[in-house]
Amino acid sequence: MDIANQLSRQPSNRQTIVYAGKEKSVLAAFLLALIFGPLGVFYASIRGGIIMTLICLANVALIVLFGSNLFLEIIAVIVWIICIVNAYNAAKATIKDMDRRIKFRNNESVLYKSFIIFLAFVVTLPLIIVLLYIIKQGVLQVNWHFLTHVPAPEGEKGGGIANALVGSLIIVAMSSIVAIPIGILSGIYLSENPGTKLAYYSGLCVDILQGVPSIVVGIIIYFWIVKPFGFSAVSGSVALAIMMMPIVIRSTEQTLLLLPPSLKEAALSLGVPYHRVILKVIVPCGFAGILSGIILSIARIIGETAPLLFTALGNNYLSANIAKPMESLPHMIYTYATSPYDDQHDLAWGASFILLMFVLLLNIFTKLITRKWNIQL
Amino acid sequence: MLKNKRLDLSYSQMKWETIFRRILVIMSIIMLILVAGIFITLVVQSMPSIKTLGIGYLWGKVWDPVNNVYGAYPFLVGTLLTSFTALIISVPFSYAISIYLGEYNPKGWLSNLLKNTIELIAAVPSIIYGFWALFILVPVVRTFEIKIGVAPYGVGVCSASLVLAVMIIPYAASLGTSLIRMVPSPLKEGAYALGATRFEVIRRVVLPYTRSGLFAGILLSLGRALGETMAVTVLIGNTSAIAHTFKEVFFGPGNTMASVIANEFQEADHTMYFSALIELGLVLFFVTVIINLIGKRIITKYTNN
Amino acid sequence: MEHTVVSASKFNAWFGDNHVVKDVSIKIEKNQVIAVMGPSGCGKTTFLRCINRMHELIPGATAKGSLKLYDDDVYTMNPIYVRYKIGMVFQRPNPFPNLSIYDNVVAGYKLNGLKMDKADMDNIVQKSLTSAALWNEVKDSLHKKGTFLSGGQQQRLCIARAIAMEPEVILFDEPTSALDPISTSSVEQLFHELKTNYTLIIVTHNMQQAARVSDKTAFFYVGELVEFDETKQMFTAPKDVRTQNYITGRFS
Repeated sequence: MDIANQLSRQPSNRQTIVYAGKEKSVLAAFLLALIFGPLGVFYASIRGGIIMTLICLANVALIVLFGSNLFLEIIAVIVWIICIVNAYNAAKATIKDMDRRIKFRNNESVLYKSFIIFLAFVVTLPLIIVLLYIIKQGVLQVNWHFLTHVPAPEGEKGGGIANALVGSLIIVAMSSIVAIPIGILSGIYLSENPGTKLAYYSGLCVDILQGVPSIVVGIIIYFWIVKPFGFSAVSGSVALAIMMMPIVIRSTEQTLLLLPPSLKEAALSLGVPYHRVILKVIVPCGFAGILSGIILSIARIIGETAPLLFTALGNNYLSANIAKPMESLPHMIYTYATSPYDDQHDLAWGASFILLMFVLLLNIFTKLITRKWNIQL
Repeated sequence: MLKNKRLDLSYSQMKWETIFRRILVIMSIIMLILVAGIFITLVVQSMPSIKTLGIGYLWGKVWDPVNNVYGAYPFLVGTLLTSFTALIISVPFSYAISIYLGEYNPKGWLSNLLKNTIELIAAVPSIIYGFWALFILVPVVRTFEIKIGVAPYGVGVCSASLVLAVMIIPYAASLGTSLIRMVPSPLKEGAYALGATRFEVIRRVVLPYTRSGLFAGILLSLGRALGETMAVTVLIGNTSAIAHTFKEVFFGPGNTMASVIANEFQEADHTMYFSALIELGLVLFFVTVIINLIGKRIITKYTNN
Repeated sequence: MEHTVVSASKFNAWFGDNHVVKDVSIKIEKNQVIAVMGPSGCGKTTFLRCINRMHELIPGATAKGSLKLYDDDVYTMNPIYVRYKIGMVFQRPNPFPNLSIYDNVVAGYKLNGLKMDKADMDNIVQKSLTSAALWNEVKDSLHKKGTFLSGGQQQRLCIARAIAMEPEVILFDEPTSALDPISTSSVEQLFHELKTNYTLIIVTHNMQQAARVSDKTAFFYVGELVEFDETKQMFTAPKDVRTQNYITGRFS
């Protein structure tokens, strides 16, 4: 008891580093720089103030010389921000007492964390707003009539999205038929032959394809298929297949690379030929990963509009003719959203709701698969 | 001879092996063919425009198809303005999400919730963002424009940038999260042991370590923004004239390379018009591909370290 | 005079430029258990994998010389054929995780696309699992996936899978090094029973194991076959000084 009291009354033995000059209030420095810019920095640090004022004057001179333009205005804003940061740091460095300094830094850390958390969660707001609004507007539209009838002629009420619904399903199904085999086999090649030149260049091309803007894909297919054969659902499917493939390829490749090599060895040692080892052992063991890649790619293309703009076009009638134009959900949403008729807007809301539900369900399904079907290796 | 009569297989098995290997090779070659084909088609189809208009096309300020005058400058400005504004707006948010999910809260139900929400943002089709924004965001922007005294179009670069910003957040955020999680603990522990606060460790250890990777994430977001078509087309207002002051350009309607192709492709009736549009596609292709490749190359360097 | 099952004559193997097996000549007789020993990197595993032509699956791996199964050169035969006749059990048990125990045993047939009637398959499964001393433990859960099996049981499942192909020779690449002592002894007991029907070649790091289970032992050192003799002889009075040093623990 006695000793504890004695210890607590003894002055601290720590050495404090003493800054020459007055201590500045961080808050004051921050506010002054915020309001007065480079001039406000003078409060916190003379040297900083001089530097920032000079830079600012240079900026002003350029503006006077070349006239106000976007580039220089952006520079002015950046200079202002740098002033604030400078003032803050300069003032922070003048805090003398070690304990108070540590307390300040701790508070700074907590403030930063709150700021980060705020920014991170604010991002969810737009999504929630969009989802809620689409559900609100769209749910009202959806009923059996809506799903089974084609849109009414312009200006008339009623009608539905049957043509777009069926069209989307047909187009996506056709894309999958093309993209899935090519994608899986390509992915197998890349994972089985990682060092070869072909694998390097092919992988490069996969990355390139993944980055090609969707409208460019539409243009290309226009020249390859629509020009010779006319607008058709097939052309739309091919365009979407080109967008599906990179996703399937990469996820197949990554899934297979994660499999242990002992699996392949075990099969080969039993005298199983290579193609059967891949098709009957490797691919089934990686099935969960490959399937989730496929479903994700489907979820991605089911909402793509741009490639369909000049390929599958649209069609006001319910049609299953793949050699002719076919409507699809995203294309219909685009056409009707930008139309002047309110009835068509209503249809677009309903279609958006259906499309959104599809995409959400596919994503949720993927998550469930990867959790449940992942074979214990 | 084999003791085990059951395994009397014919040697056709070997034939299938070679066939299978050949098929795998062919599938990979298809990728090469596709990319080469895309490139060649774009170049060939924009040849008329390249030959006639030359490189001046890129800074021609007038786009007047009726009088056969083509200049890509308005669209370059529109594209760069929307993409970079979207990028600048999105960066603080992607950065905050990466730090939160990578450093402050890597595991647990809340972090999973946030991660799934971000993935959902990326999953929503762009046309739905465009459609929603057209009816909900644009009126809000319109009222704002009235308040600050510009012509209240509502549509334009401003709305398009806002929506684009939301759409590209997930790309940099998910990449940033993985990178920040990969920062080795000994590095951070060394800093903590010297008495640094959490903020200081993040600022002086984690972020410098992941700097180039985060930059790659930003490049990927940029690539996505540049190539985005539908949401922008719906929101950008479709004007090919270029306004005079920055305020007018930003708050007024415009066009991006992708949106002008989407809007005018079907109307192009003569070769020059057509090939001028395709040339835009070629430029778009080049720019997005280069940015994406640089980004991916930085990332592979990172993950191999 | 016993029949020679596996014989090698001036056999060499490389990984790229790295000469790992140098001029190995050996004659292995039928129905014996042969232990192959040596310090790390001496080429014993590489030589083993050459016998069933698994060595060439590694990019850059080459081999030269004569390696025969009975009178046929292994390198002139179809590798798939070779692997039917020469089975292999690996260091880490590697049953197929997506197949049931039953399907694992007949995997060699099913994966090769062979159609067999159920009675035939049931017969093979029972015979193989019995020979691997696993039948009693799994006979009620044949159609479950083998994830609940212990390490030793999984390894015996892999042995059953190899036996089901009715090979001439079974190769073992350090089969018990990943197992606990009890599982190890259950696998070692198997060797004794298996040699009546098969020839076993076992690469092992464990000298005591070699002494326990094998009839003859081969000692490899830096790629060469230094000595090949009756196990008893090798461990009590080795002829080469290098063998002597290894056995007495001068290097491991």
